[in-house]
Amino acid sequence: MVGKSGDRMTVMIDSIRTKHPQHLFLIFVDGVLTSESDALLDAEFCVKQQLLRLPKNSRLKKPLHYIFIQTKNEVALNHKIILEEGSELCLIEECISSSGKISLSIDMVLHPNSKLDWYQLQPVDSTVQIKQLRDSKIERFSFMNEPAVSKEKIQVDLMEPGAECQLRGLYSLTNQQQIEHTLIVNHQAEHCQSGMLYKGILGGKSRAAFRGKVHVHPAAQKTQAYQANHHLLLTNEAEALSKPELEIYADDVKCTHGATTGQLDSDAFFYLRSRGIDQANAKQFLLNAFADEVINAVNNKKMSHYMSELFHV
Amino acid sequence: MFIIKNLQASIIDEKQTMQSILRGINLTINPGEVHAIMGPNGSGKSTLANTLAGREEYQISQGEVQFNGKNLLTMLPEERASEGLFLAFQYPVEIPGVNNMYFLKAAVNSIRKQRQLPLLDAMDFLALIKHKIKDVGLDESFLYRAVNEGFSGGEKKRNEVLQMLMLEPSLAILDETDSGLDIDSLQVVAQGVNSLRDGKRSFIVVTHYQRLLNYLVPDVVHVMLQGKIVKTGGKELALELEEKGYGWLENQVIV
Repeated sequence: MVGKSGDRMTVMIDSIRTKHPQHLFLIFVDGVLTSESDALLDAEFCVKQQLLRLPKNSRLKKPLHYIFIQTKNEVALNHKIILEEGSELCLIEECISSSGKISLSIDMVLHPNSKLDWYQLQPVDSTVQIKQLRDSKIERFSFMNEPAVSKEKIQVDLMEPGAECQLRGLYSLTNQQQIEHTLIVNHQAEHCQSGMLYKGILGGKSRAAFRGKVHVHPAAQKTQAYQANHHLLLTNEAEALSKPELEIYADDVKCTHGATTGQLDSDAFFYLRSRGIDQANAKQFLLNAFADEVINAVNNKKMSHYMSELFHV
Repeated sequence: MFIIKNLQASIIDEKQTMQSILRGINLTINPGEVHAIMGPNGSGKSTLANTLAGREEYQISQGEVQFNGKNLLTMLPEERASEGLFLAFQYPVEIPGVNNMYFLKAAVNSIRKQRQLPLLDAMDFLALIKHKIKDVGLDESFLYRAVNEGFSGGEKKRNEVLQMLMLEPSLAILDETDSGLDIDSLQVVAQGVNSLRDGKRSFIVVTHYQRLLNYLVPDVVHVMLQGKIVKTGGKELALELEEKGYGWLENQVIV
């Protein structure tokens, strides 16, 4: 990479690598895997440009960290991720774009008993299709505060019993940023669990739209599905739209959904200030409290800490 | 050191009309004095307390308040706290997600910074607060919970007293801190205040019930009715009110 923008990218990559010395990095520039990536082509794992397959019962000991850098106008990337039976992976995807847009299209299959711990940072345009087989588990965390416009569409099919999927998102927008989340979870088999927890802080003239749909098929008895979407509006011009949907065709299920849109608690704000804490810090206390619900739900403590740092910048 | 002159304040009610609540309060508090303010519901006692703390919902139309020679009314709430004012709230708000200890440390150090005192590090702070939390009879586990979240009424008031002990204000206003408390909690509150009485520190104790004043003996007692202080006396006045109620004073006031 050459030129000023290239230097800036190098600095950013180095900074990310320094924060996560334990991670295995795969770096894509404008869709092409660069030689700066860590070598991963040993006999066990197959990582080609666009396919990541983990063999049966394998576990990548170090988190796999994709960095998608995009310098040209528009780049579309298709990825397929297959976790064979019993395999485990911690996957992080970070998007860094200097201009235009990265469209990521991801197809995922989780075979029985496999487990994916997945973090998507600063997605710009993300379309994800996930098929989960018996007893597989996904925990996904999406974080966004940088791109001007961001769109995320996730569809999860819980196809066999015992599958579990937790979708969590945290976003903090200002200026004229816009974000759109569409989450669809299909409970097609019994004894599956799903959770959606998406929280957004909206300042400036930003806009957020959340559509969350849980579809429980007739065969999906003993389903547990939770949905929560909460927005905190910091200005009069910010707008939030929340559309939770539950379509339930089985009769022995536990499903909840909640959506709120509100402002900073003025009583709490005054209480903090009356104890000598200035406005900026008082506000930060309350914003952190709002975000922490999502950040603390992340099981991986190192990643939880990293999320916390990203948010508090 | 604390002088209120002709303070008048109103609030906009739910029908968007301006309601006058404080109608000319005059009060002078000298260092070391404990002033009790009593009065029936709606007399404006809480409004007075909250206006002095800087609550923006109350609009001040007239009057001035001098605190240590400075104009209190132009100061932000956090500036008033740094100057040495403390309000123990009648209904302390719950703040989920904000850790009690973390908040207290930030508050203590904010004020110390403003007063150009050295900041407390984590160790010093912990040692100090472990000591004070015993004084208010709260278990240490309360430090690790969110501010006031799930606390009982008595525990919330004890948390207010704990904050007062940690922040060491020069003027503490207690807004019905005794309301709804059992005798044990009441005595904790009184002890907390009494332990801070050093001849320089002053207190305004807004109370609805005379009972607290058995443990926390005031120097001066005022009665508020309809936004004004209508009578001032010594501690015997509180006993007289308990016996006779407020009716006899209401009849005396010609509006």
